[in-house]
Amino acid sequence: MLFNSLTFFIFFAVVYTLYRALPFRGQNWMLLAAGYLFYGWWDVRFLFLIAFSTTVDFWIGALLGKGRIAPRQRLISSLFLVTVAVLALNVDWHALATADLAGLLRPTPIGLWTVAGALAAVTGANAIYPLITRLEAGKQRRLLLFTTVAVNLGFLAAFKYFNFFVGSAEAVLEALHWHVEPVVLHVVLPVGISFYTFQSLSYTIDVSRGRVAPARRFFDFALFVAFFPPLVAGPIERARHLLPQLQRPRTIRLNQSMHGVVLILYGLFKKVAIADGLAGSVDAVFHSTGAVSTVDVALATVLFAFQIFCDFSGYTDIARGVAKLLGIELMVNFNVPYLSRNPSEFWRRWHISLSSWLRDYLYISLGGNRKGEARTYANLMATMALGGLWHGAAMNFILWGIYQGVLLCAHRLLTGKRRSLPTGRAAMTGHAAGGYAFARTTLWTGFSIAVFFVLMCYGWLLFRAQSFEQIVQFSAILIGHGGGASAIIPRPPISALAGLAVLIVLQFVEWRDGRPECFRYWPRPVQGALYAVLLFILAMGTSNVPAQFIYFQF
Amino acid sequence: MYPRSSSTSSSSRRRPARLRAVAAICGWMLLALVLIEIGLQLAFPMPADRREQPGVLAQYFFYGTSTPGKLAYMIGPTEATSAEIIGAGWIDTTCRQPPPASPPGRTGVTIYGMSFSNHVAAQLRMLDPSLAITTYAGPGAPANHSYACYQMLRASGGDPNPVQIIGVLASAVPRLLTLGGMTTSFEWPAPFTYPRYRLVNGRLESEQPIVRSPGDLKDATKWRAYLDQLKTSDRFYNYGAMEAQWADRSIFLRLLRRARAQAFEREQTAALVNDGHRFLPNPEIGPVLAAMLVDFARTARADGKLPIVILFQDQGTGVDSLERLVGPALRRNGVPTVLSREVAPNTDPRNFVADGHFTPAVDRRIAELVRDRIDAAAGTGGDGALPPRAAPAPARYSAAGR
Repeated sequence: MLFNSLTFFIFFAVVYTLYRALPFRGQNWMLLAAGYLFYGWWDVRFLFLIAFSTTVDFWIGALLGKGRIAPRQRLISSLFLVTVAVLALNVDWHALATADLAGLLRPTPIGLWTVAGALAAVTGANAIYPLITRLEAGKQRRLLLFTTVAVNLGFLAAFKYFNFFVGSAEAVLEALHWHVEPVVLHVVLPVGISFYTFQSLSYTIDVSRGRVAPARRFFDFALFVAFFPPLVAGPIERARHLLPQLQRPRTIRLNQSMHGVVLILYGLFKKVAIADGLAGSVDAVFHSTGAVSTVDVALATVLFAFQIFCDFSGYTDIARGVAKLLGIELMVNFNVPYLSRNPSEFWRRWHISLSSWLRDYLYISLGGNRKGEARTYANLMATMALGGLWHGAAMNFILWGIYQGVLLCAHRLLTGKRRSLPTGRAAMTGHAAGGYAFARTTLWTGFSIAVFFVLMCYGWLLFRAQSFEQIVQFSAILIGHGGGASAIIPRPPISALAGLAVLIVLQFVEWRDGRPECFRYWPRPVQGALYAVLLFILAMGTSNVPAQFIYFQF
Repeated sequence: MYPRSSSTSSSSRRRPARLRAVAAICGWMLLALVLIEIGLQLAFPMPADRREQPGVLAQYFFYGTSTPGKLAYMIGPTEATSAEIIGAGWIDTTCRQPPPASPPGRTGVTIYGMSFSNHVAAQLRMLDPSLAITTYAGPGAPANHSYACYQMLRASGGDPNPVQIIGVLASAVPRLLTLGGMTTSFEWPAPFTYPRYRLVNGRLESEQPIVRSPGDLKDATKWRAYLDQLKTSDRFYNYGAMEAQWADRSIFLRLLRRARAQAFEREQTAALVNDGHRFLPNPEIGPVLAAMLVDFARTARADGKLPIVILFQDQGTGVDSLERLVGPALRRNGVPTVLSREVAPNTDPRNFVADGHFTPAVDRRIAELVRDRIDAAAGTGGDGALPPRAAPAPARYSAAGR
């Protein structure tokens, strides 16, 4: 169910109506059901993964935080897991569409095995529960943390990385003239697996660090994992931010709802009018089997930079807007990233929920900058390389991560430990001691932004490339080897060009102001005119061929 | 028990003020939308002269007009004042005119198809002046148009040309399920019509369209009957595009209608014809197209002529989907075939110009393949028993880009 589809808006209209009619607990149960329906729309079978991850992390969170789980919550969570196993893998939901109720229950071998596995898991877990509670505290903590990391990353490893690592190992062995039979796991990558896995994992780690209290009710935690707006493409919410909002009655304020509607409009404008519009031009170059020129590669790369920004931040805006309509605040995930002056600033503005996740749970766990300069650089490289791998099991993502690591290290090397950078407004006005100084600062800021934009765009080439060979070929073309001047890249549609112009202005204004969506504070007539322009360009963009959000695959 | 949480403002006294603020913003937004609408209507009107090429933005904002609305604009009081596309491709008018007799020493060639085949014909003329080429085409015409045109000329016995060529365009294959050019390519529909063919007990049966000439478009009774026929027999009939004219006055609504019409075409194509990679196993598509082409080849041979089929694999239809769709039937029946993908894979954008047609260089390469097929037949005296041909004249321009 895509945010930019009619199906979603019908779904949300029903959810919103029920939400306004129900009391607090009913709202939570309904949102949980909505989350499972929203996710199951893609592939109902993978609901079991979410349920399993939820159950395991709820148990571990409770044991880490309180040392025990209430019997009632143990029972509820156990029954929940088995029920999802039955419903997700042994029921043919398509039969509902044809009103074939007799064909609804359709057990499959894998479905029955999953039910048996779920039964065995909950029975086993309940059986060893007393033993775990009696373990020495340190040992218990290590065991539980190992389990949560193993389960969550195990799912990722199996569904996302298995074929890549086995394939890479086979390639290495083949290079050593050691023939091995290929092993391929024929599984579909569950949509958004990296997002909900990381969200769930952060909860248990935070509980173990004492940063968040464990959830008392299983269904509250299940809703935290399966809350549908950020479920498949983020933001990767932290328990300490989202969970308390789900555990207490919410108030829907008119201002918040208005902000939500504006965010939905802004997000749809970015996704439908710009990202989907640019996709055709970008794909024409990156999918081309013929010769492409320097102009093609450069233009396609720059357009992809805007495509991925509008696609991803558009999703985030819609997710935040939808959540606001439900009275729930999600974290800001993008803050005018393309007006960053260096990689350090960029990663504080781009995919903030992932970069802060990597910082908090990986970089700092590796030692951060506390173990000397050399180790700091190594940690930066490792964190960014793994961040690249998080995006997908392919060499280009790893290269992209390494490239980001190199940029961060180079920046650190060149600037030392000086970190704090002024916001756009401060950068433009903070040196107002004299006209010359101001002009110099402005020029330097503009120059830094331009240079870093070019460096960042090359990173997007690595990210978007179809293969390692294409990276080499396009890189050579960019520096003038093998390309020509004539361009084959199709002109993007009018909606995308008009949308880009408006977006660039808005981004610059947000950067100057320092507040995301600062246009909400503009005078009403100006706001009204802006929303009319966004709406009109969105209407123009509805003709673009709709594409799935890029980040769903991650 | 928790209290209901619906819309409980933190301050009920401030609520009316906030509501007024929201209402004011909405009001300003509506006013701005109206101003944008009026401004664009004034700034980008369609030209009064229907034969004049409209500006890019005028055309862009006109795209979403309903099909009858577009026709109303395109049809002038006379044929001379109507848009050129109004008169293009009508079988009853164009296919009744036989090709002129070939001058002595030249080989007559008849090519049926669409703009792609016309472009190849133009290159073929330059490549080999000894060929006297006549083309019959409709805008984006599918094989049912070509086949109907071929049959009409054959029945009249007026086509003496010994080489008969049909061009099949991959992106026009969905039109096999239509009765004319108005239900597809919503943005700029071509009003010409053609029969729809079905296979009944292994035989091709046709359903003729009720509208058969530009004059019929002005006949309200025929137009209504044609719409009813489309509802039942045209798989791409879309009420919102064909009949809902109430939205034509607003650019904003036209934009939304354009999106819906395009989505409908995409959905129908993906569900019935081609998923972007291959043609679906639809009995109304592959078998019907193959039957038409095989019958074309069989009857042309029976008349002592050389049949050739050109398969144009254009963009967005899969790499070799057209060949996979009809290639086996053509090979089984020994039909000389030219595949565009052999000289111009559609995965290479350099083979195409901005409007989606092949580049002239590609057209020329396809034309060379066609000439090779004709020469081969003439040389062997086999298929179609062509008379031996003189060596072709040197090309007028170099085969750059070959």
